[in-house]
Amino acid sequence: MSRSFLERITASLVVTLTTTLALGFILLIANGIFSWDIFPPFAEKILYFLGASMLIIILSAVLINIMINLSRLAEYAGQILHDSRREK
Amino acid sequence: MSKTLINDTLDQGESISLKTAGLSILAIVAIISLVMLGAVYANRSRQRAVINQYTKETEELITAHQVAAKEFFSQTFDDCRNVLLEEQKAQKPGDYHTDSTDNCLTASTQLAKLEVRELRDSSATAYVRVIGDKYELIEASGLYNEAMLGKFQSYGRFNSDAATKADLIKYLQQNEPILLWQNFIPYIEGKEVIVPVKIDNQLVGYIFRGVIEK
Repeated sequence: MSRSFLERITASLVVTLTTTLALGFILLIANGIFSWDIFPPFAEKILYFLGASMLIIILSAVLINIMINLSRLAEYAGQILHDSRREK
Repeated sequence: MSKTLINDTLDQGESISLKTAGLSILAIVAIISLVMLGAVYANRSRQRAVINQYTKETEELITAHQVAAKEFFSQTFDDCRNVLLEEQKAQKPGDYHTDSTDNCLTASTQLAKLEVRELRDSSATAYVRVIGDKYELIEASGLYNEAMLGKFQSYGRFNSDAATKADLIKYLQQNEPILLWQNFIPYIEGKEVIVPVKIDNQLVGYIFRGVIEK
């Protein structure tokens, strides 16, 4: 698996899951403020579990993405250093 | 080569016009509004379904045990009040004054006759009788066949927040329409559905059924 492919997957995952989670959080806040009863308790438990899982996946994807980009940055920096030495 | 690399990287970021930004914000607001509208609809549907279901179940039970229910909301409440009054009379000056008793055995017996165990979450149920501006409440908990488990609490032990209390009093005193599924009784987990108990078209009391759903 190439690094750019992995980067694209993790970035897409982060964007999709963060958007979903943001909507979920908005609903959760509204649920608390307006005392809604949209879901029965067992369904709420499942949703909390899904939310927590999403959060873990987002954090992992962000970490992977940062690591990939750090290695890229190191490569670029190396290349820039190499080129500047050559130009001299 | 290094300059080209940096320029390439910078060029990848597309500039966003004001129009695109505005449209994006509008799209986000529209999505959130749609989700909220959906949530409001889902909430109303569920509230209606829960109130209907709990009301139907309770009415079926009362219809099946009309005599026991009538006795419960008249004689049993009177018996429990007498037990409490006797306990209060026996209190010595300086004793902790309480408006409740756990010793109303007839409540346990009568609840067993009513077969309230058939109701879902029956241990999270309270029975209320309104006399004038006084509220008598029998808290149901535990197994109703066993003695000492029927509890009696008297006179308006609705210690929930002022808004809910005012709402409830409006309903009980003036029969004003309110949302029948709210958190009225603090010791019952979650919210309770109020079911008015009518026997021979006469209102004898109310059953507060906790919606635990576990």
